Amino acid sequence: MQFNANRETRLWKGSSGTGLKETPLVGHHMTNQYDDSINFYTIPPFGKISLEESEDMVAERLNLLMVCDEMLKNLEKTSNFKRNKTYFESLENRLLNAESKNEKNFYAMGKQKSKNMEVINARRRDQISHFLLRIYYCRSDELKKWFISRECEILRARLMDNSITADLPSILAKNGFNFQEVPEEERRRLMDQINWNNTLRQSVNIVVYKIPFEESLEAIKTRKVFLNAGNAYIMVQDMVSVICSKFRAELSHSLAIMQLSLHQLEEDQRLIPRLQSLHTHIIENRNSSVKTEDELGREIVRPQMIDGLSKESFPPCMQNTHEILRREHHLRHYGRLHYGLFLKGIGLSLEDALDFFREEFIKKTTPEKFQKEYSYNIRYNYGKEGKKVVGKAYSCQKIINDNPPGTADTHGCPFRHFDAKNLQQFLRKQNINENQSQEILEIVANEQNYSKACSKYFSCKHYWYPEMNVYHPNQYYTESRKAFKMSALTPPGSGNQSALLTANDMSMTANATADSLDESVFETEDEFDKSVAAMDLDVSVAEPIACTDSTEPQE
Amino acid sequence: MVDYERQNLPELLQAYYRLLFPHKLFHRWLSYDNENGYFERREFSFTLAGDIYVRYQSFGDSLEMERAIVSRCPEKIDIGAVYNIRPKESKSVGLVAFKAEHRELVFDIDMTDYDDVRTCCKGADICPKCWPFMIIAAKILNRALREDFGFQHLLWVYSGRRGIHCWVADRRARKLGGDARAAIVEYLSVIEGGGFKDKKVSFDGTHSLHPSIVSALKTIDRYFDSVVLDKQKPLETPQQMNAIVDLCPDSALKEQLKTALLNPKLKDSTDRWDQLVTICGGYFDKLSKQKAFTKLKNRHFVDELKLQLCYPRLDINVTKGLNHLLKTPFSVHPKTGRICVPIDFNEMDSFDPFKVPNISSLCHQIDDKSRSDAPNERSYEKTDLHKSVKIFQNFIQNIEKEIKLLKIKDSDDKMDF
Repeated sequence: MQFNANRETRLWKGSSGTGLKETPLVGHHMTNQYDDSINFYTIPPFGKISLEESEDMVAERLNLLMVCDEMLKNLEKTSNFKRNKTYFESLENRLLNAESKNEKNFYAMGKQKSKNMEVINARRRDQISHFLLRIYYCRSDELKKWFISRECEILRARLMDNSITADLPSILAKNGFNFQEVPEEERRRLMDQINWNNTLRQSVNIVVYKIPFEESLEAIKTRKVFLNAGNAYIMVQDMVSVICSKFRAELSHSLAIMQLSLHQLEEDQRLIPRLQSLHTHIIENRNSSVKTEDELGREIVRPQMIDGLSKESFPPCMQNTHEILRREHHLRHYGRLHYGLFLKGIGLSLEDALDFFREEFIKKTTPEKFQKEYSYNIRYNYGKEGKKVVGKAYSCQKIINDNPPGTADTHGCPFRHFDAKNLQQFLRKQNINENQSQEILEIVANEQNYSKACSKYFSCKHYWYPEMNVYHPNQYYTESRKAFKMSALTPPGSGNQSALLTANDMSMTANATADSLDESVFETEDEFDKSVAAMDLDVSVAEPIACTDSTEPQE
Repeated sequence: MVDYERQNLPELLQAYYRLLFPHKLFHRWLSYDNENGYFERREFSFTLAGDIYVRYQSFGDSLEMERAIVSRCPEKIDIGAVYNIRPKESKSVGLVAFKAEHRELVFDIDMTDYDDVRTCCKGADICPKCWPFMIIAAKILNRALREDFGFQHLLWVYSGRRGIHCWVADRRARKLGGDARAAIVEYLSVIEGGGFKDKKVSFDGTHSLHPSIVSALKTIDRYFDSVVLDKQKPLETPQQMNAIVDLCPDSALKEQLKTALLNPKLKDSTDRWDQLVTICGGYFDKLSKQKAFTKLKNRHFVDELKLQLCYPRLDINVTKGLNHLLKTPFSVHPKTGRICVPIDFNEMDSFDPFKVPNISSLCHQIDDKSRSDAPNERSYEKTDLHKSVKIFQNFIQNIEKEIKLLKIKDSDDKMDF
């Protein structure tokens, strides 16, 4: 395998003074690059490796990245996003104990001072697994972002180890970080100010770097370092954030270059699918082992289930909103409101709702901004902010009539707020066949009965017609779940039979549905009563409103 | 000085923009020695009569800008960022592709943010008793920007009513990204918390104060007696004393201070402040001799008080946002009629906002004859605007010198290869 596309052109300022081109990667020199416990991955690995071995290495690294993933997610939930001492202690601890096929994972083993074969081997696994994962994670901006920040966290953990400080200047120099050291004379003259916080008791031989302030934003933000004439004076042990941001920039650059030559790697049909499945297995399915039903036998909805559920059982309005969220990584106000309350109604917990929206939103905005501007709304929906009243999911009547979407909005009822062309496209995308699609379009055009149209849609998706017209997105959902449960009881391959359910069965289902709907959406008895009243209202109003509006474009 | 009346503003503005506004200099400043397309990609925003905002305008050259200003007579002109494409063409390009690239690093300090520490006025009002807060703020910022960050081209401008602006125009400053601007603002801010937080400055006593804060305190010390104690008199009534003493986080010290300040022998704010400083000094010295280090975490209390009273209160969003608008120098403030004049920093101490020329006086100073003359670049020389234009000119010349040097350096660097 060749990594040449990824090679960087920076020179090595190591003790031998050789340029990269002259640095042989084989033979006894192999061990040189495993001299230190920190690897900045400037040299790609060389040689042969079996697929099985590479798989183990990748799994080992993914487990470490997973630790970082969880730590970072917890950090995003804190109020100030600051990594404090406890954070680093727990990060270090969890990294040291991360799962591995070897006795100790490469993070733990590579840290050791003695340079025996085992340590070197661990450092080699570190290097190879990093480069292998680059191949997978360079393929999209989202994957890149995820990978870079998790890799930086590993580096950060390594740099926080006090025992590394003494070797750091030489490690940095060896790895081509040409940070400028403050000359002896200047250092003496400014020592009182550089060491303003007396972090150093004996300040004689300490290495101090002079970094342009633009490269040390973290340090100046917190007023941690002395600043003079546009340079930050940073003592070697405070360089963590500077090094990390440089590493981040270079890794991001390398991945971008690699992405350009992806097509060459695609030819290798053995590796990529393996990386893909390891990624799915370790990173994406981490929560898959949790329970799927609560003690009352209701389905528990977790964020990772939403994609699947949306295809099966979401009413068209919510499915559309979900697709927009996944595509745009953002929803405007009413989209968030309608969708957030709907998700709450189907049983997504507050914590999970925050995770779900955060994960999507921060692809476009910062965690800080999410925390400040959006998390309040979500907590509000769950009755944790403001009036502290648990929010009710909007009924169809409200979605159809109140707050119609403005020009840039995407919320609303597809039957009411889409034009015929868009509605047709939407239906096609949902695999509704042309005949049925035509029927739905006619109901919309001729009767303006959106509730009936939605019920018809339901019947197309589930091979039965609900007894009651759809009047609430959560009603649609619950009814759909029941339908799936029932069809799961019928033998496989006999899907058509579910269409033959008797009328009696259907009405029973409808009643059961109404009950469980109320339970899931409303938390107190009081709320429950009100909701029943509101629902009655919804049903009675549903018919008349359907034919009031004549502005609907008719084709 | 001739009194200004708002109803005359449209008429006055016509004369002002036609005869006095330094269009040529303006263009010279914003072209930065003809860096490619810099001026053309700059956003201008006009506020027309009736609070009509017109954003994303840009001009090809000085003449086009002058024509637009003279013909539309905006009540306010703002400058935004330099974009990757000409802002007036932004509508034809998708919003995603339209990006702010450069802009001066700007600061905005507004006297309204000092309402909880000034005793003389509130809101939009200023008087000779509270204006010195602006002087202190400018001195502290000026030092930090020059010495800590190494910036050289600072233009200080009176905002026309109750505050000051600072434009940092070094090439290095213009290139800063949003995250760097945010970091600089954080470095320069020590006042935290709004109306629901009384103690707005807190430093951990187990650490020393950062050199930049120490320098700020030195500046504050030069003004504290005359500005705060003599003019603002923050410790006159028992309520005032309580408000200050209540900020003390150490309860034992707080009790001690409460009784001590009520001593009738203390005549005024100066006496009481001296007493407060003495008691705090003694209190923390004692703890320090006892090596009671954990109790020393409040030892910066006196310094925190000084900073809370005097440290610059920045409008951080103005500085953070690369595309944030800021009123141009030589704009006219519609409420006061005063011109946003550049301030000679060396004369900051004697700068008097009440003596800043207003648009009525300026128009009066151009005699009837020259009013009917064709517009003349140098009409301002006959008016009180003369000095302000000189300061502006100086600022521009210095920038141009820097750019020339940088260009030589750039070409030298290229020669190396």
